[in-house]
Amino acid sequence: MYPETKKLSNREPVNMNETDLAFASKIGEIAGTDLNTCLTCMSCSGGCPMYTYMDYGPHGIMRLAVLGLKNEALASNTIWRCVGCHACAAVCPMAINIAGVMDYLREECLDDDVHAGDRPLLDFHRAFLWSLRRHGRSNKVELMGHHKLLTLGIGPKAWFQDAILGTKMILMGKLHLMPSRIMSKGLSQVREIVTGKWLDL
Amino acid sequence: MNEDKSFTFEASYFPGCTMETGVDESNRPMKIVLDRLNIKLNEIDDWNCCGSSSGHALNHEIPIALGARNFARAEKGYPVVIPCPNCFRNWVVAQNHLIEDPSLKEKYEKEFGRLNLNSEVLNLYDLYHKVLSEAKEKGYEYENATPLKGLKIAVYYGCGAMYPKVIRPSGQPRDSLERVIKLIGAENVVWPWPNRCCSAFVSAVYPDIAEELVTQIVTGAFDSGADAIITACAMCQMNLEMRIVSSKLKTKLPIFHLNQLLALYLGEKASEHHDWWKYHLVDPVPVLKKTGIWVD
Repeated sequence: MYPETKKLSNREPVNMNETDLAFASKIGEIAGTDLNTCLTCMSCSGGCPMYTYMDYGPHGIMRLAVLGLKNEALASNTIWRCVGCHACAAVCPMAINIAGVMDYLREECLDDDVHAGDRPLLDFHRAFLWSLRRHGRSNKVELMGHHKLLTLGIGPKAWFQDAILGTKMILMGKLHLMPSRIMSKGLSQVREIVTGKWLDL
Repeated sequence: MNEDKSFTFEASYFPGCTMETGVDESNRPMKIVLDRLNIKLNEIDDWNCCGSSSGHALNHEIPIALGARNFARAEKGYPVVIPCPNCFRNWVVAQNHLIEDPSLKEKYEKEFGRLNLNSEVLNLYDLYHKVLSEAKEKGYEYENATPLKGLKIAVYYGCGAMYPKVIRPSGQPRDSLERVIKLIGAENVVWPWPNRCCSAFVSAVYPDIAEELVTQIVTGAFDSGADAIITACAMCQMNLEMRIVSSKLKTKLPIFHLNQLLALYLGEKASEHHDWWKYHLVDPVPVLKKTGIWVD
């Protein structure tokens, strides 16, 4: 994985007639935070563990949202590579819930059928929620197997990635092969909860 | 000390998926520690997953609804203790949303029954800190307590200790892990990455990113003079160990669970517990021998 070149530098001037100026306030309503207070101090990107591997970084996404460049924001890989660790929100001087904004954008990306900026990570989330649907709890071994199937071996390493290490951990008993399950009635409740557009992607 | 069988603390317990399927090296010492500290934890009946990182990533309603079901199952009148920082965060966020939005609460109460939103949600390490410091204030000494002198520890919270602003509007950073380490006689190291993310689920998809982050974390601890890293999060522990082993890192620091060190402090002998150490990918025994905690 190579560091990403940042797309914010050297971009064309933005034509404000073509942008969605209500975007920031809409995000603000749903994520419960005011994006227009952003100072562009870049503290969020400074604290972000994944900044090197993102195309915009959290501060870039904040800018895109405030400028109303919705398509760019939804198609970026930044929103998928965000791990949700809240380091950005913890350092933000204006108390913007940046990780919450990322959650909203991911959901919006699925709702609008935008091509996900990082498909393998989306597939990981899907595999996790599938595991949750099956047992009401997650199981790591099953999750990893399912993820490999979903990504269909994208990239040279994907099929055998961590195969030796994973097998070793199963053999030494660090990971249990058998999932832990909840009871049948609870299971149907959980299945009703865990639905959404991601199911049939 | 425990003749009338009255416990100093009784609570509901939510293990979370990671502690439930694996991590025996932390579950086993935890049983011992809870017993010695006179804490009784009752596992919540038929609990479900909190949604982890993936629930809120794809749909904002999933973690709230899953949390609501768990709150409905939690026993009334008891606090809930959670060993996993990420589960803890999901629980508290869900609790916050359900309290603030009465219509949400009503909707889920219809579905799952009464939600016990008044229950306090506690992190396991906060509970340990509370119990240990209270015992110290009262001058109570645990039987066979052996302070872990000479062990230099880098305390690693992981990102689980970072909360959205709704939960922790302001105030001091967390320090209960450091205080626990001090109370059990070990030494805290000042180091740069106590809250750095271990790369969480990205580790499963892009191992090379995880290796870079873990290299940064472990080298940071080593350069600050730590003998070992200690974490309260079972997921962080696994991520760190896996990526130490798969990367080209030369300084292989062992990663302990908080429960293991507490059990050693409360009188367990390290040499009798191969059933803990055998689950570690990075062997912690040399460090225990070097600091004199390992007695044959």
